[in-house]
Amino acid sequence: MWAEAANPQGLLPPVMRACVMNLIVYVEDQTGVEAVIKAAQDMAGRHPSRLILLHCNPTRPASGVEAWVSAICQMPQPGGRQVCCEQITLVAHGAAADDLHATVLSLFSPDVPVVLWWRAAPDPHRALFRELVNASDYVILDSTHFREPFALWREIRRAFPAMALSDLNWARIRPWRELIAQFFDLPETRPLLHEIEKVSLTFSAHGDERNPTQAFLVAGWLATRLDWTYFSGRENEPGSYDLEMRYGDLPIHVDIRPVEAGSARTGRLLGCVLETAKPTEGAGLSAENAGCEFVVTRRVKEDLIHTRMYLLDRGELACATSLEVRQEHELLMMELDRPGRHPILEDSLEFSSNVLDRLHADPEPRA
Amino acid sequence: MAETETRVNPLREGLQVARTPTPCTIVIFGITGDLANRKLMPALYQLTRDRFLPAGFSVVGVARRPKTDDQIRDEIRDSVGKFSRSGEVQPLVWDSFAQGIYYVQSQFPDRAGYERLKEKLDRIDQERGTQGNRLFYLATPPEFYPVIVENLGAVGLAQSAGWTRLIVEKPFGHDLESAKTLNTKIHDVFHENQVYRIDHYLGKETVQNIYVFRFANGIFEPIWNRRYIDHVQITVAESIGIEGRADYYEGAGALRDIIQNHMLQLVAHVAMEPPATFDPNSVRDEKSKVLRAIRVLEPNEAPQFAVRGQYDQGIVGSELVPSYRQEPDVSPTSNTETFVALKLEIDNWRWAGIPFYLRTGKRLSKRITEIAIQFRMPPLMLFGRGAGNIVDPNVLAINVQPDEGISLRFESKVPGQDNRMRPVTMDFRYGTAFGVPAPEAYERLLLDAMLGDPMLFTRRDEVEAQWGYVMPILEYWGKNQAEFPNYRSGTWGPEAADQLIQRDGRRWRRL
Repeated sequence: MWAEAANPQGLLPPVMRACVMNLIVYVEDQTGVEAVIKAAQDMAGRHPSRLILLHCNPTRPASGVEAWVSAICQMPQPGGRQVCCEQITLVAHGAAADDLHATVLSLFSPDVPVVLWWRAAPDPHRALFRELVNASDYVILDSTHFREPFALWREIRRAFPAMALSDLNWARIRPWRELIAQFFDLPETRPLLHEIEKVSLTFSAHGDERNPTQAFLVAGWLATRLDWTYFSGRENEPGSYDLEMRYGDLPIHVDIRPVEAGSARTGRLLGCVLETAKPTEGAGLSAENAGCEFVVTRRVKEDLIHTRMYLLDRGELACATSLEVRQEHELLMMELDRPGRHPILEDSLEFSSNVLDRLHADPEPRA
Repeated sequence: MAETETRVNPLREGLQVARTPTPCTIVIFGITGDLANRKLMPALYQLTRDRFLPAGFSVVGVARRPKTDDQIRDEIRDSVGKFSRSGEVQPLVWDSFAQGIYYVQSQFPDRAGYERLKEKLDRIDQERGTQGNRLFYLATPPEFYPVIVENLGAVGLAQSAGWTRLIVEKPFGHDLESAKTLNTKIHDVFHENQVYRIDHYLGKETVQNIYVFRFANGIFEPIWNRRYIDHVQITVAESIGIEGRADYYEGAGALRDIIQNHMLQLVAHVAMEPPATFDPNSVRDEKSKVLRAIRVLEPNEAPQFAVRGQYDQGIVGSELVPSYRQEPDVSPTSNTETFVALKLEIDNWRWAGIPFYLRTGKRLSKRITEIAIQFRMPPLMLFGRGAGNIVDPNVLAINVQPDEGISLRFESKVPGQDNRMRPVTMDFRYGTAFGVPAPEAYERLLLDAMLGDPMLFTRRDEVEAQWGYVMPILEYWGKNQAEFPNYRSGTWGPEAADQLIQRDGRRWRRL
């Protein structure tokens, strides 16, 4: 394949073969295969990789292994060179899929990292998953696909304690984290971080489809960054939660609510409101700054995030900024830009897992 | 709360952007000019759109003609729509951004205008929480810099309850004396650590990558010296002409426009010693040190080491273009050079005896900026000297634009029964060549100025050392008329430039 592309007759500019990583992608359906091929083409410029695409469906009857090799090339800019990388596709179903890891290991390009993108719900007990995770330097999952995301994350973390893991859902909420953090970049608002008394998070839902993962990721992030401890909570109805946290003796109420959101994909964060305490006599709060509100919202039909900050002594300051609705491959590229462990993600996941465990083990009576 | 606790925002940990600037106001003198409309405002809009700037960020434009806030907002919106990296204006983002744009009309020498500016800034502090943080951007013709700085000082705008900084565009002075005078005038009002002198090349990804390339890889630094390097070539070539900017260019020329600032900064990046730490002043100390080690010519040495040229009409692309002297507003007897080639030497232990060849020009064959490090030949040729065995030296080429990236040329065996060789190139190309847009240089530079990071800005001593090098050449050229034009548009410059390097047994790279 590369000999032909080298264009020995010199009639066309030779291609440039590039590889910065081995990217193993696991998918279970044909739609996933097409999406991954498209993603690889789009990513070839920034993360040219040897793509090892595994199309496996364990529930289908066992099959043999089919394999083929192709090149993914990006169209050159005028005067530029065509950049190409390799795609190796392996198709195996049923029991045959579980023996693929040995084949995959033999296909690695040397001297570059190995990244596994498991584009399905992972099963830490499954041999193929275990072997591929152990062979990888970095594993990318997407808790959008998980049924019980926090419990599963906990199981994966226990099975692979040293592995660098990431979640595309965490990448999705990065703009929210940036904008919430931005409120408290000011020296005058930073002290208010520890005067937050209420956090309200809303996420998009469709009927019974309620996935509060993103909301819990934000709640876990705030709690772990601000040293909150979980005190009590209840699930009012599926996807709707009232949680009580503590910062020292100060109570913080966190509520998570689904909002019927029409065309928005389910589980997407729609709003985050942080409120500080109202002044009360003898409360010891900063009176001139108490009663402040920090709001980040997204309207369903817009690719915009609106922020609003209301400070008692200054009134309101609002801003609209762009929210890039990232395609899956763009989220992947963001994660590939910064491979390695994400301790803050792990802390957030651990915190939220613990909250949900305790909630389910010892629920408060419903309101 | 303890001061240490308030200094760090715990929510920032792990985010790509370590911090955003505190709310501030940028005051752009020359808001109606080309720079503001094509570069600065589109960059600020893009930064806002990409969530790098806080709510409350404000812009005050200052210019001579009467306008309202709404008029200037409309004009800027048009510019942003044409020139911003995202290519379009998102209405709600724009509305939010435009709320913070204001205008003050003033002639630059008019003290009353600065009083009005001060009132406006105080009001913005109250309404938008900018807390006295101000960045003054001199985007005017350079003759106005002293009077603007003086007036800022006179009305008390050089200091505030927050931070105040001054950004000065190139050209920084017209020669060494005027640069020193300008520095002195600025320092009468601002401290050096408030002053940010822009060289937009330093905001380019590839230029910043020179540091990473040299100092984050163990394999290059040991050979980055006179023992292994034969010479360095730096080319900054443009295929365009002066694009209607005769009023500036006639008084500048290629030596002042490109060599004195951009190219000498590239030389500094390539030639500097590794800094002890990667903080702005350590890096700038090393750049300044190497700039001061460049051998300054005597004026009468200029003909031996420097070549100038001026383009004649010719074919560029497929278009017949006029000569420089035929350009609008250019004198038909103009002595301004549009091309310079130099041989430069650095007198220090690392580079003694190693020539740096620089060339820059307008209306050359193509647009390219490249730094090429050519290594010495092997001490012994083991593979015979037949016709098929002409060995080319290894070349490490850093391509700054348009095809950003780095390539290394080395010899490889031609498959077959004998030991014939051919050169091959190992390439690494950056995002823009790969189809991923890199941030505009001004986005990075403006953000750094707001964050108070002077790493990518030049310091007083660097600027003065750079002027010190070019002064003898300017002096000689000022006294001696050239025979212009002396190269056709669409070529690589005058023959004398080829002779400059061929005298040393070398030749310019074919780009």
